[in-house]
Amino acid sequence: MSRVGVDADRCTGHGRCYTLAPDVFDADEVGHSIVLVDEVSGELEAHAVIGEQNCPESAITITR
Amino acid sequence: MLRWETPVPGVARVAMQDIEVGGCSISKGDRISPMLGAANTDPAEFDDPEVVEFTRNPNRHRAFGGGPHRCLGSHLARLELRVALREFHRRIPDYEIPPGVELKYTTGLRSVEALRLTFAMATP
Repeated sequence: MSRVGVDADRCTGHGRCYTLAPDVFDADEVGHSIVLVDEVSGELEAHAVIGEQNCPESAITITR
Repeated sequence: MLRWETPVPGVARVAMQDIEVGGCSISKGDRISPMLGAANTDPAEFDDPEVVEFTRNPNRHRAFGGGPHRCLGSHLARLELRVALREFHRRIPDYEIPPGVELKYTTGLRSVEALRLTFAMATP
């Protein structure tokens, strides 16, 4: 199991994560990222990694 | 495509602290114009940066800038691009730039002064 986190101070709402991995991330009311599933493994973890790698602000962390 | 043809190649910024970038020292308060288009073809970030690859992943491009002044219109821009490209290709699926035509790019924003295309008329 890995833990998914979004640094709210870094996220500016590019929306790449919830576009590419909508089963792990979603948008709050101003378009910033929120984590839908804190603990991920398998396919969900792979999706979370795609979100992490594509974040222009390096706001997403996945702790293994 | 946003990476490759960065629509706004450069943005104006003010340095918040003294820093050195690539051997060039920048002082706090200096006005700078970071080139987003250059960042988007930086080989340190992108493998084969000169290759257009629509399925590139990861693709942490800077077409909409970053930080607190990230482009507020990015979501609308992405939607507009998606709709425009889909509808264009629905109406005109086959097209080409005639041989010998050289594109003239404008300064400032990344666009061409004219884009001559040849394509077949759709059958009614």
